[in-house]
Amino acid sequence: MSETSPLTPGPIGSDHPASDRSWRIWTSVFIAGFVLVSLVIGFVILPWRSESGVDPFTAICRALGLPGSEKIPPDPGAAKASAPASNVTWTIETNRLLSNASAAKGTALAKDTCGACHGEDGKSTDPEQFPNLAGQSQAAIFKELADFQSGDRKSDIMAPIAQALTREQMADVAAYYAAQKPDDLRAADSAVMLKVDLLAREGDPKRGIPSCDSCHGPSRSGPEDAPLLLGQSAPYIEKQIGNFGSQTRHNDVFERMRTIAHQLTPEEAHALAIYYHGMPASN
Amino acid sequence: MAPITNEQELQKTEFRWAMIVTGAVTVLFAVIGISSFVMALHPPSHVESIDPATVSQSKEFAESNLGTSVDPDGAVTVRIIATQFAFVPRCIPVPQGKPVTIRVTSPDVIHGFLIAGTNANTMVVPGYVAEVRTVFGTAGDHLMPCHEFCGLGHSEMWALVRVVPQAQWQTDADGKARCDISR
Repeated sequence: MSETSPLTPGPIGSDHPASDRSWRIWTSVFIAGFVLVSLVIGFVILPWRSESGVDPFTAICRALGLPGSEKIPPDPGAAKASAPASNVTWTIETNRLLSNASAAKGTALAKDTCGACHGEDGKSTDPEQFPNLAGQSQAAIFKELADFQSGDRKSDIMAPIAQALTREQMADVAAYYAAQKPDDLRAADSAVMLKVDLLAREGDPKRGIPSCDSCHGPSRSGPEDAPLLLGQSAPYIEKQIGNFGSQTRHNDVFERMRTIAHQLTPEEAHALAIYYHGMPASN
Repeated sequence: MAPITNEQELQKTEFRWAMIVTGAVTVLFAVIGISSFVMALHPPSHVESIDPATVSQSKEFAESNLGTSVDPDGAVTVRIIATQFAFVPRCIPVPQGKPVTIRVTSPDVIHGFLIAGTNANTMVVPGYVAEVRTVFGTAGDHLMPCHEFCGLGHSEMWALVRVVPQAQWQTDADGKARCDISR
């Protein structure tokens, strides 16, 4: 019965051509033609007629994803571009410097220089003025030191201290303080208005304000250099939010904090500062 | 129902179903084809690389150079940084009815770039400059959300594109245009 079927191919290796040969040929022709027509539509006709301000050949090269066909638009503004907000970049070299840093080597520096204000164990002698450094992210400490050194962040106290340091010393002392144990705290969620609690954890989509925790929380996913906030003193946090909002402080790359801070009301800034000041975790 | 044993019946059934599948596929391709032509929907293609780690130091994507600028020859270019978790700048004015070149890049992770109600839609991949060329037909505000999950603050990451009628379009001495709202 199967021998009468037009769809049954001949035995493999036989001299007889398959009985569905013409079907195979026409299907192949149809599929090849379909692919060809699609390629012409997608890579030639559509780019040709819809790319405004590009000659047809470039448009086709762009659609094909061929590099080097680009005419990058002239950029007269680049000549008078502003200086970057910070010189710190997260290149392989920087990351290698941080991962090779030695907390042990940072100990001496922390004791001799930093400890007088920030505490040898990273617990500040005056948290309202000098931030606690215990358990702070190494990347954040390193970046702030580098910014004090370059003048991207202004401080009469920190500038001369940072200028005396090498990049290796900054990485070492940052590693030392990152390894210190901070106080066992949790966010002071019961001490402030519920609204701020939401802002800290969920953000405000209407104003385009991401939650503080998305960059400054324990499970953060934002920029490498965003510092942890929990455990800093409330007046210190409030002052920094104010400085970002008024553009007095501007070492946040791509205005990440300035755009947020200037949208916060003074009440919100105050309440957020109390929230991140924290309270004993056992409480 | 009795099982079909007759081979010719079997082939008829196969043929019928094959026609239905072919019809469905044809309709789907027609939708893609027609929408590409009529609505100019097509993936923007541009291959230009940039070092994502040092984008912050680049001249083109320096803070002062972001946003809308009009060159002396009248070409309108918009430069945008998509970063965790904001677009810089957060409001982008563009002139109505004029070709606009939008250049976007990311210093951190993959973001999505989409201007609601227009055909501007692309991925923003770190290491590449995404470029979109388009003409905005209707005046008014368009929402520009990030459409690729980029981290915990993704849902708060959006900007506005303000299409300004030609009569009200103005730039400053440097050819920069800004929204009058501060965001």
